[in-house]
Amino acid sequence: MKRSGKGICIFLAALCSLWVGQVQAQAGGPLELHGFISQGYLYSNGNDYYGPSRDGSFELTELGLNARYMVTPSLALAAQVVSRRAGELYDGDPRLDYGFVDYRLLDGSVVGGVRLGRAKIPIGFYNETRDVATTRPGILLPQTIYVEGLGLRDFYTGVDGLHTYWQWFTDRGLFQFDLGLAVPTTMQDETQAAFLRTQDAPGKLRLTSGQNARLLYERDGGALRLGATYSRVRTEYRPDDLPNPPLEAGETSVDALVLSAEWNRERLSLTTEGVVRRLHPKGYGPLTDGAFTEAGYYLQGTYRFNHQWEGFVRHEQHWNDTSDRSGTRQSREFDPVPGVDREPHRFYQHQWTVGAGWRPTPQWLLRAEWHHIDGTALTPLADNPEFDQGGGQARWDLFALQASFTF
Amino acid sequence: MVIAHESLPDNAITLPMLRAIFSMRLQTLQGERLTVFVLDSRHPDHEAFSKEVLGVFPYQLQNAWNRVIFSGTGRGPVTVESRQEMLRQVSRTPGGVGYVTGPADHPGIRVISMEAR
Repeated sequence: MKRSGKGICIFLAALCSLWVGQVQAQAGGPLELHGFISQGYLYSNGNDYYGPSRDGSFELTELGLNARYMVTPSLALAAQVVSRRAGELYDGDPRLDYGFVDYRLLDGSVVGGVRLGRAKIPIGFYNETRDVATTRPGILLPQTIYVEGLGLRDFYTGVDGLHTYWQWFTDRGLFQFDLGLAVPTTMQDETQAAFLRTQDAPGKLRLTSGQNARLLYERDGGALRLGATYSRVRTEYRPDDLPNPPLEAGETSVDALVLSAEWNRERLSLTTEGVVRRLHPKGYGPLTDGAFTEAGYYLQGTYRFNHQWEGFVRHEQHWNDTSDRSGTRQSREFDPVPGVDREPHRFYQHQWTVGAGWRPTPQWLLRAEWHHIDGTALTPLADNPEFDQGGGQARWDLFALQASFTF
Repeated sequence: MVIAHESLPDNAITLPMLRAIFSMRLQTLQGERLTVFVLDSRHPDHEAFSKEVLGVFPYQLQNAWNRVIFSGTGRGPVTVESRQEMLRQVSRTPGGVGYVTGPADHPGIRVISMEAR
């Protein structure tokens, strides 16, 4: 995959010039500019994560700049450009993260409206701002919900279509409902490779249909937050017109339910989210047979020592197929496939994470965390091509550092 | 106490709506664009207002602001340096909303009474 240092440089220059513009923009005026920049460092044993992390990797860089302009009190335009470098998965090319027209139909104790264009899909608590380090509960999001390595990511980030929202502020709490409808699109090459789980499938992967609904409830200003998200995605793969394509034409349906809960006190927050994801591939060649259910959850406790320091502990579990939690059957299914051999650890991933964060000012955040991992199901194949030749370590550790700045 | 620019309607605002305004979920009121002014999130007055009036912790407000700012779904508040600047800015900005501890006797400022429950 190509590297795009030049693209990042141009983007950085644009970011700096717009930042100067922001200082000049009148506070409280109709135009608002914000941005973020973060740099990570990863060091691991056993497997690589976001670049050659066994030797130490700096290949986790996130840059973003957004603008929101209120044309009238009920009409706003919003857009964000993001450059994200994440190992071999994402090369840092700037892309339009979201860009939409927001028309508010209701205000007061009930707010409602529609957004037309590309918007971030609300899934669970973190999906809409998943690339912004300061909004995450750690350096790395819980991967079973906020999937990265499986290529599902792009079905759930900036999606083109119609998005409606509704919020109701009552004495019993706040209710929010979001409904999104996607228009069909062709997915980018990295997504295709990760989703089809092979780097070698010439052709096009398309999102043919997508819908997402989230219901959110917050009691006492967010002391208790509950969420339920259902998303439905249909995809289609058409190989290029070649003799003997490595992968035949196919379709996959992905139906996911995410449940979320959070309890917030002054010092302590407890967060848990779980996912059940039903995947049904059809076609692709002789290997595919029927539907399977992926599932996982995490539980995190965050403790704020004071305004600046916090620490957290998180436990995550993930299974690619709940009917084969050890991965042995799924591993055996590759025995007849020439040139591909996948160990059972490719089909589950469980981990413990401990981390600490320091916010010297509200804009700066420095984080460190250590992951003790069993399995590689959520570990990018692109960073570890040996996974397809029976390689990779089942038990491994990942240490990460990250500095981020937002304005 | 909660203060607003005199252009805002005099009728009382409920606590759920006030939380929605300060968490940047409610961005317009009766067709007028709201501009929310806050002190630095480490300022003792900000902490007191968050906890005692809104009943939320400053970190929850900060999280809510980041969610709207970086998803494009809303704007952030404007941070002011001092109580004096808070009064000055709110009085000068149609649709301005803020808070002060102590006297709010300033031309162009309306004190928002919380609706009795």
